[in-house]
Amino acid sequence: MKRILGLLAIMLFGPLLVTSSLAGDITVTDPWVREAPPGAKATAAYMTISNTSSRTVQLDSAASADFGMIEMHRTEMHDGMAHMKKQTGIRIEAGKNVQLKPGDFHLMLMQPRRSLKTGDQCALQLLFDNGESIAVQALVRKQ
Amino acid sequence: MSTIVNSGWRIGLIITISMALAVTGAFLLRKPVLHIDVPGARILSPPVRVSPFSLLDQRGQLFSNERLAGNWTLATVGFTYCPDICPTTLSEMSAVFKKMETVSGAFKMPRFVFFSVDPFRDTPEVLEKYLAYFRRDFIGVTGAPAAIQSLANELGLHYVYSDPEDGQLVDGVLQKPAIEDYAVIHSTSVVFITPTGEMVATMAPPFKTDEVVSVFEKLRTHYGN
Repeated sequence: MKRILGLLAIMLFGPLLVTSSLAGDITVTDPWVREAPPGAKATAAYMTISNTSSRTVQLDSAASADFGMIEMHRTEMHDGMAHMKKQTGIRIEAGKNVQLKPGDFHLMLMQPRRSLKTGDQCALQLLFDNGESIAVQALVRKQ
Repeated sequence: MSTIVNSGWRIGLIITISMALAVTGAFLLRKPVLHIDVPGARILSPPVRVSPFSLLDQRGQLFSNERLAGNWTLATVGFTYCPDICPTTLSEMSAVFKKMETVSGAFKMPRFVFFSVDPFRDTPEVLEKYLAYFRRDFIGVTGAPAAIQSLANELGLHYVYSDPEDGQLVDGVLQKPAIEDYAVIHSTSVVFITPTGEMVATMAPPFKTDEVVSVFEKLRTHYGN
């Protein structure tokens, strides 16, 4: 009987558990990694991060088995000069999205552990300050 | 009496016609005003003549003023450690050159030169592999820090080294910064140099293919090929 009840519980609530872990407050769309030109010591990852919750969420860190170090950066233009500013986090306001794109926010991928070519997939793990950890498969392409 | 009046009238008429012809001729022969209506593009008036310089290309060959002769040059500054802006600009410029090949017709293709402002890390070998990835005929130039600094200054393309951790600027560009993995803050414009070695225009990113091609066509038409 206990077994049947247990099974019933899983059948009833199991899908809810799965749903809640999938449908978090944060969604990541169009993730891609720039194919590093030969000799380049670093490359970048780009994506759109949407926050559907009612409070600000911050991307705290990112990791990948393909890179020894990942930092959050933003390219800023001042007087026609490009500055790279290291970010302690990337904030996404409630109901808003932030684009990580060339010439703006990006994940700087350093110390590559394997050579990624156009068409490859790069697995990235994104950690947010609300406790969500999102696994992203980013496509490697040229531009 | 009537002859004198007549000849006076005739002389007046001749003078008037000659003046009208001279004005019309001057109008027809005048150099048209160059006007470029593309955001981010600027014409330099007067142009800047590039002073003699002596650097190295990605094959270790001398790259001096003579290498600017004969064709137009589009150039920018950057460094191969740059993960975001430089590969973006180089990808955009390779799209521009691909487009130019289809519209160049009887005109000579310009050349593209990437001046490294990080000579401590960008050796000719590093530049060779890096640039060939974007386009085989792109030229990478490096050399003595002082020579790079004076050419960049002349082209109005500035750069400074910084600590990527806190953004602190490093004093001077003639010595390798003591910081590991230092960043280079640099100008992002592309400059246009005539086949006679005069910088006549600059353009700021983003480099939309059609806009760069149209700016170049206007410059080439105005200054000649």
